[in-house]
Amino acid sequence: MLDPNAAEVPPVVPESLAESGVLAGMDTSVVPHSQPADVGVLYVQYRDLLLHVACRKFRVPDSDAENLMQEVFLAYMQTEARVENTKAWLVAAMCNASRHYWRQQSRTESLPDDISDHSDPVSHGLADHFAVTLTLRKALRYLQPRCRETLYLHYYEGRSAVDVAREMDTTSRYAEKLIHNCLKRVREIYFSITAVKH
Amino acid sequence: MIIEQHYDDEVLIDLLEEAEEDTHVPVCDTCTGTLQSYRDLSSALHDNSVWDERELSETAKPETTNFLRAFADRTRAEDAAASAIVPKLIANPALIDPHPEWRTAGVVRGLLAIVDDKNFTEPKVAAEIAALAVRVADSLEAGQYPFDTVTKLRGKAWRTHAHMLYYVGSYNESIKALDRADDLLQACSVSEYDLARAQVVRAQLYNELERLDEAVTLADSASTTFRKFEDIDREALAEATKAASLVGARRYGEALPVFMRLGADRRIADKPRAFYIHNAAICSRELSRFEESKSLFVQAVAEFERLGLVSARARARWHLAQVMLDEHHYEQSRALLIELRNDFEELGMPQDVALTCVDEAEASLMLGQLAEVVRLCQRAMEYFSKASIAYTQGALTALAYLKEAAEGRTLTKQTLGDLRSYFELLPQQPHLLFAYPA
Repeated sequence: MLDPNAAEVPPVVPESLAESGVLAGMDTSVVPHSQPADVGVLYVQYRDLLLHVACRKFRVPDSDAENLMQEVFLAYMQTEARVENTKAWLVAAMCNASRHYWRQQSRTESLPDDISDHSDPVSHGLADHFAVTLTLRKALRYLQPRCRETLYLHYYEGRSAVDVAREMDTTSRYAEKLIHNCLKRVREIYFSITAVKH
Repeated sequence: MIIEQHYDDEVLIDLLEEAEEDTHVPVCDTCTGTLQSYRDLSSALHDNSVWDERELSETAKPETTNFLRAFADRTRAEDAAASAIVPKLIANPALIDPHPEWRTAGVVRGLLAIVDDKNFTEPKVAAEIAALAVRVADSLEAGQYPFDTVTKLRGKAWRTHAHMLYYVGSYNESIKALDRADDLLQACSVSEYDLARAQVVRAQLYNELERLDEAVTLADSASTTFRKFEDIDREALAEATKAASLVGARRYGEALPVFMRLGADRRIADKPRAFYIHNAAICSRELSRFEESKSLFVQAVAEFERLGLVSARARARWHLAQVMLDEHHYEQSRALLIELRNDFEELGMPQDVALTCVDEAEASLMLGQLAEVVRLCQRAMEYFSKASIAYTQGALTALAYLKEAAEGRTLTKQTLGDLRSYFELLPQQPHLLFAYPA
């Protein structure tokens, strides 16, 4: 029956492997579509990033993070839907697992003071954001301590150049120059790590 | 200082903190790219994870690799074994009792896959298989599988069952099944994605129950989750579900831009995208934006044709004919309706044949060509006489009345409206008698 007043949501509702197949042009075999040829390879490929998300963003203890990661990969293997972006899916699932971890912990012990920081900072492009922070962290290791401190004060703590100058016992003009140079330098290192040519 | 017509890094870093738009950067790809990379980095420097002092082991753990590979191997083996069991179980569900060894996650996955195959073609059968999948899933021994594998599989089985109950119109049972699915999935550590899928089912169900505000909230929430997982098609489906709620509330002006955006998004699979264009056309028509509506219907028709979606194409053309009726372009509309009636006859869609007849009669009435209505009724009556369908008698009676009204020149738009309502009810109530208007 055609009701001219009713918009027709596509007859592709999300409840089935077949529909996922229709949506994405995939086969509808019983084995989950996204199951990789070798999940071990995927684990090695994404382990650092997922550990970074769980431990550094969500402050999950290292000892528990590896278990969470196993659950994430198990969930990935069991999803019958076609995964369009493996990295994004795994990172979103790791965020989900980390939040669940803290919800469970809150039943037995008090939460860390900075629990409010544990929410997702952005929703879209989450995986790329975390990949940037992971690489940036590596890049910062190669900076001189003074440079690193400058960037910490200015960008993380949000201090002005005048404040940075006071903290570092120098002139504000020099602090400004330092901020510029250090950002420039960390960008160079960042791109040398990722080998992305700009 | 400017080098080779590009800003140097000093200037670009300064621009990071400038509130005002620069005039050069937007027209220079090189400077835009460099500025963006500085923006990304300075933004990432605000993130606490960058400054976390903890060092993490960078060595993959062999025990995790082994565990994951063993799980994958076991799943494959279980699914292979299930492929022989599932057909027997579907043929005789009672066999699950004497075969406790058939209670495996693989069998549940196999049953759910069959539900997917049959949900549009044999919904009642699919609903029974979904119920069987729930029964098997609920009887699994959770301890035989790692972590919350079984709980999640149960949640998925209940969600599929809920969807099939919704599909066959058992709304109250569907809500109960969704509640059960939610409870199970919420207990799992990684279930946000699956919960979002359940939310979409619930939103579609609430649309039917006219709980539109709740449907919008659910669809919004699901859409946010799918965006995080970068599942473009499901995100689009959640947004389309929300837009359908808006249409249900007759908020066409809000639904239209959603469907327009989805219809133009080339990242979305072709088939749903064609329907989004079609839905946008319907909203445009409701807003009396006839030119836009026609253009969108034409696009939808072309897409459906390209994709081989014959009945969808016919329906889009029918809408197009109705827009022409709205615009008082009766000749054009009638020409299209005649083609459509033939198409629906060939496709074996008797209700649509009857309804296009009513629209065609309206176009002829407005053109003052009642003899055409008589000829149309004769032709349609021949079709229904030959067609072996449950409501042949009712359709023939109604068409005979239409013919008489045209011959007696007593046909009005009101009469056509009554006939339309009758034909819309017939498939659900095939023995409904046609009541001659007083």
